[in-house]
Amino acid sequence: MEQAMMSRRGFTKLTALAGAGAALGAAIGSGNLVESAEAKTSTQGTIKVKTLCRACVARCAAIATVENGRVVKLEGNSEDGTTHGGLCAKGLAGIQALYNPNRNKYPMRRVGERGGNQWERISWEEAIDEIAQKLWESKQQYGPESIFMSTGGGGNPQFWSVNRFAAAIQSPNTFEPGCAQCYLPRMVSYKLMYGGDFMTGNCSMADSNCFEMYNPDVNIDAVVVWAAQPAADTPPGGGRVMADRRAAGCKTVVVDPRFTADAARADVWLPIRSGTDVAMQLCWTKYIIEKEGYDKDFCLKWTNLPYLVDPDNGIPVRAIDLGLVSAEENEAQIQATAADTLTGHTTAPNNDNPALGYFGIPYFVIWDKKTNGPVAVPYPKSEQELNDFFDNQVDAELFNDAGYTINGKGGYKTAFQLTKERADEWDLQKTTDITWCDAADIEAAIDIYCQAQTAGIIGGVATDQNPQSGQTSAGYALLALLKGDVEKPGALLQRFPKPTMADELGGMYGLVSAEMEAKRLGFSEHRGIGQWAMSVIPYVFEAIETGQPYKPRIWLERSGNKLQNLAETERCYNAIQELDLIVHMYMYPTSFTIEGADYVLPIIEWLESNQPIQILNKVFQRQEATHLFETRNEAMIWSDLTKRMMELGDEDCRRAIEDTDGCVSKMGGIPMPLTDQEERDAHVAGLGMTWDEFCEKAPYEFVSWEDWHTYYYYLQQDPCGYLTGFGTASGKCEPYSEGYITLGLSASPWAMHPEVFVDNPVENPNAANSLVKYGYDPLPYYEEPEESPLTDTEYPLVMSNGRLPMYHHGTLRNVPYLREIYPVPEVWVYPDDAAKYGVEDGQWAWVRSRRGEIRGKVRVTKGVRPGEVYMERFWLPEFLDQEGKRDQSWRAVTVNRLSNSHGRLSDVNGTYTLRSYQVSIAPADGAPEGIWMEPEDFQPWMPEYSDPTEVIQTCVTLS
Amino acid sequence: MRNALVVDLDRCSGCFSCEVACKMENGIALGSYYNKVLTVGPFGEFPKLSQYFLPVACQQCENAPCVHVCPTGASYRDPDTNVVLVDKAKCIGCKYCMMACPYGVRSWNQEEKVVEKCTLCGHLTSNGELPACVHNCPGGARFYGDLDDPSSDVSKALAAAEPDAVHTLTDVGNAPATSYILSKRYAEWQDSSTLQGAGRYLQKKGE
Amino acid sequence: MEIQWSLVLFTVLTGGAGWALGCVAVDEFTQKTKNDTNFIAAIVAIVLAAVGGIASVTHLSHPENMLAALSHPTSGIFTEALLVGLTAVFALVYVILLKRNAAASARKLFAVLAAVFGIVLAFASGASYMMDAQTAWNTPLLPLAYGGTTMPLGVAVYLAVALAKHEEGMGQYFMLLLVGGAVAAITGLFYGVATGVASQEPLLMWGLVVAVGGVVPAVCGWLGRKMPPSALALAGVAAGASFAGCVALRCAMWATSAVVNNFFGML
Repeated sequence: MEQAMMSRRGFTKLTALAGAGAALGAAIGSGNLVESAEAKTSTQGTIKVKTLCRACVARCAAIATVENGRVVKLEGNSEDGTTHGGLCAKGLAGIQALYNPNRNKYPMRRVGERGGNQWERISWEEAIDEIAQKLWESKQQYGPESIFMSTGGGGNPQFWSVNRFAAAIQSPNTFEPGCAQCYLPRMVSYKLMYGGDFMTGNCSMADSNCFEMYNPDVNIDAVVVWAAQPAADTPPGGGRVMADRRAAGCKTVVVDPRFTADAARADVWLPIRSGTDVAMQLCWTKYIIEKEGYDKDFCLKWTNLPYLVDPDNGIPVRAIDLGLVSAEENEAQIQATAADTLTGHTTAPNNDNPALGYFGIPYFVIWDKKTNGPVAVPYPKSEQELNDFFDNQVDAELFNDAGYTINGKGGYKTAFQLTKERADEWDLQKTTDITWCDAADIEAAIDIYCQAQTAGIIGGVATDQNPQSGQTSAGYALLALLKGDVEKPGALLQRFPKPTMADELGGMYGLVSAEMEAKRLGFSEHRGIGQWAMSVIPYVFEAIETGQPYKPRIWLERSGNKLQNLAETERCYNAIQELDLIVHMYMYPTSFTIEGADYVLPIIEWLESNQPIQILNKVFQRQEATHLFETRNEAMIWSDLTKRMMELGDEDCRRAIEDTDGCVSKMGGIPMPLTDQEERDAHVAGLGMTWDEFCEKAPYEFVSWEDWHTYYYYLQQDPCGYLTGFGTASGKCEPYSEGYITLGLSASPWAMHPEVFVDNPVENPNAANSLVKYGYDPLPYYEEPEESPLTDTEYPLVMSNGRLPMYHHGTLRNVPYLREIYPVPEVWVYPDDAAKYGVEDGQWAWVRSRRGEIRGKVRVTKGVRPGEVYMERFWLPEFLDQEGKRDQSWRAVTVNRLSNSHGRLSDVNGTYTLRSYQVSIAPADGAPEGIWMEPEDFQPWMPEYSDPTEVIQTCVTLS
Repeated sequence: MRNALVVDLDRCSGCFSCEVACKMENGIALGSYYNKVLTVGPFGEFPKLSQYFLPVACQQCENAPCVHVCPTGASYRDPDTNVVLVDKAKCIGCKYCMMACPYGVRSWNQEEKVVEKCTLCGHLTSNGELPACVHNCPGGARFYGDLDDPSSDVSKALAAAEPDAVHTLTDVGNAPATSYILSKRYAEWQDSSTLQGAGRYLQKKGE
Repeated sequence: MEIQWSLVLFTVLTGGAGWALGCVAVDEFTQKTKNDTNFIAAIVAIVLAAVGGIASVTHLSHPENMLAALSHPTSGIFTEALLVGLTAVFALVYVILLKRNAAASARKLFAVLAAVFGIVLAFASGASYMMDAQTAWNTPLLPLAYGGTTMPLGVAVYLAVALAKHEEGMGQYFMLLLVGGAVAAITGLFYGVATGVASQEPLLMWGLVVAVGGVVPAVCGWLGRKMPPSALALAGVAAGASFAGCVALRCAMWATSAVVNNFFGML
């Protein structure tokens, strides 16, 4: 039988391009091709390369068969304990991405007008030099804030490199379309409320967390999949394990407006109205409390729920402030716990100003029913001490309707009571009215959760994509903590050992100055975004549009298609016109390249990349199966720019390269690598190996399976003498999140310089219903979406999006085997709505919002709930070089032309509105003219083999 | 010996991996298939809906009509493995076998102008490997082996299933050897001949 | 399914040839013709069958492999190939016997053999489409219609040859044409109504198959029974009309094909 039928085609010899422009794009233009460069030595024969896929943000183990230097086959590697050898369509099609004829192959400089799609090839040295010159000039004339960077989650394995470069040149602004709209909200809420590991301690299965799901030795009784699709986001990992769990008897609940693959196998499907998730979460909270479905012991002993809250500011009160503990005892405990090495109980240098964060754990206060008075709560030195306190010494009140009076001040309630009050109005009737779910189904779902011994919450991205992101992400953590799903066998929140390597080189945050943070757009207003040291996108565009507070002028972009993934696409398009310089680094041209770029820099596909990755208790290598053309690891592009700017005189860049004052290493950061080899080695230096040594050895167990499952991390006794607990102000999990308050007061713990923000605390937008006037609300609260179907007559349908299993964000639309499966974006419409608005199955329809109109192909199905429509993001590469139609690549069908970057933003995170806004639908005459729909249309994109080339080590050698 | 596939639709999430794995392995042209993933449903009354995905390829019929009608013996049953295959060298391109297949799961190769279809990756299985679609299935939903061997993966998968959860596509005398597992608690199996709709979305009759 | 024109031509022409040979065989016994009619008609039949055979080969992409077509007797194609071959051979032998003034008994034998095989082929070429997978085709009414619709075509061709050769006394063959038209209409109708094809393709079935392919030849047969001066014209009209009806039946069959499942969308 013949192997993959990729016919060899000869390359067109490169003609002289100076002066003549060559087009990038969909068809194979002569200027797009490059002569095969010198091949690497020894590419004969057949080898199997163990690597990891990166077609999405998961990292399924794969084996690449390389024949005479060419990657000819991909298959899953069964050494991966999460995928057991499976590999999804996206990964399998990696060869078509790698050898796509439209790959960016070498640096290009724009010729003629922006948007004219005329380019000339330049050398890497020229590219780096010219760009560095322009950056240095702009920095000198307008300040580093005139430069901003962006990245994306479209499979980017060097995600934090934009932050590294920002730190090097002192630019305050980086962003990505995800961040506040994807994952950051849940990383923020879980870090502040659960206080576990920064990367792995949250509910996102799509980001490779929730490891216990993959442990066949433990039982999990119930799993709630909320706003997530494990079967679509990681078919071989999360998808498979969901099937395993269901087969083992685990009950599942799925909350999603669509009847997803996991919903179709769930015990209960709650077809929720998009944007109303907080209402549903508060309803669950209400009944979990009423039905006593919470883990009483855990809530009592290991959360701040029994602690009394100061009615003046909504912060859990310190015992020292009520005179319930001596200063010596309090200070001793604080000093000791501040020295904890296992978890870390310090976010501020001292406790002089609690708004700046905490330093050590003070005594808190509970109300003791035995003595009918407040009692100071010591932080435990041992489990025995903890149990003795709560089981024998005191009988802590959990709920009190009437506030207690202490030292003449009334209104002291437990955090649990405040939680109960917040949830109280959300009975089944009200919840049904708002969420559009059936009351009996809601209760059935709650009962499954309450009755389960061990139950986990998998919370997904959909709820990160509207202005309630801060509240919904807190809601997931609240539900998980109430259930005590923390660090016991079967719990999804765990702190298992991690290997001492750096899968990413990190952000060099030691270099971040106070001025940078002060100038970071949107940070002071929405402080959660500080966790990723990024900027709030609409503030960046506002600054470009108005020049206030300053005008950003140069955009260095490293991701796919910003004209597909940002809300309100036109806004980005208009902003492009305002900028002096745009550099696009990507693997192939997109709408953004054609419409905006002045320089195009080619970067590597995942099959050309190198990165060490942890999978459960093993470490794996993603190692290049080949290397093509003049593509580069973007980390080295940033490095070369930094070095060149240093040569031109930028002392900030010198500091970054040479770490002259030790700021980088002091924070545990990794300096800029000078060569590609250095970059690879830096990832595994912590393992005591070079990259090549690591590739020889991996995959291997960095710890045994048994030793990896270190349950009850929080019960470990730290050398400081206390139980290590959790990384919060109280050392306990905080369903009532003091961290949210502090975040709002000073941007702590993530501002490098919280003193910049502490004098300008945010006001709680929910202050009318909360004890907290300043700071973010420590409990979730519901807000009806800004555009609401309850009142909107002009645009009656709710819009939502969601992943498809064959695409990842904006990528893979030019991969033939994937595109032919789902060639055009579908609009899913419930049958009654289709009849009402006159659209038919298989016909095209206009979808309109207050921002614009696009078209999609209608699928009439009950698989989307009534009153709501579904459409996923899409752009059309085939238009990139269709003369006069280039803009159709992003205008014709991109749903983000309809979403909203103006209006309401998330208080905590600055999230704008990607989903849960209002649209209308109407029949269209037909498809956009020129759109490729038939399988045969994609023939021009079938792969073209290319021989391997040498990796460029650097193009700036420092003297 | 009866080499065939078992597909567990309880586990199948419609991710298209098997379809693409097959295309990559066999270099299949755009618009052509050896294995295609379809969606059945959702059907039922909202929100109590049912849905399953249906990957279809040659069903390896025990009474293969494609072998019966082929004038040249190009469509034949391999004497060693008992697998129904196409010998492209003998195919005259009359397409009789395509008409005779009850499921329309034989494809026309435009370039070579012969009929082709799933080979159960004989080039891999003869080396002790699994067919590409089975190896790569993310859901662990596909099994390959000898139905006559009780220790094979297919036999074990069938033995573990509830008897009323094991189905085949509509049998019109061709005796398809491929089985689908679909438990009643997830969805009611639809007789394939009653499915409505063209393209990838199929629907229960009457929906 | 797309109309396979080469197969349409194959079945229409071979069917017509078969029935024409049937008339030749009848005439060997009834001795109505005085001139070369049977000789010419037999050759015309061979030519029609040959053209039909070539048409069927154009359907194939690799006819060079066709010799192997005789290796698989379970295939309907094997049957058809055999029948076409034998019909042509028997008809050729008959023609040679005629030319050599062979004994009547010998001529009759081969005329009958050619006729029988030819007429069986007229029906058998439709039987190949009877497959369990093809729910709309899987009825004996289909081959019945295939054979039935070609009857007036074959008779009309025979009459046209005869009248071009100025034969007199062909009245019985015009009656045969009347019967043929009726048979065409009735077999077409049975198939169309029983399978529902008649309501899916009313223009093709009612208009072309029944009316044009059945009634018109029948009327021509009735009008020609007394050998009017327009007899040749009547035969010509009947041949043309029957040809249209035969083609229409086959087109309707292709257009309304229904497989148990068409999962890849290729049919």
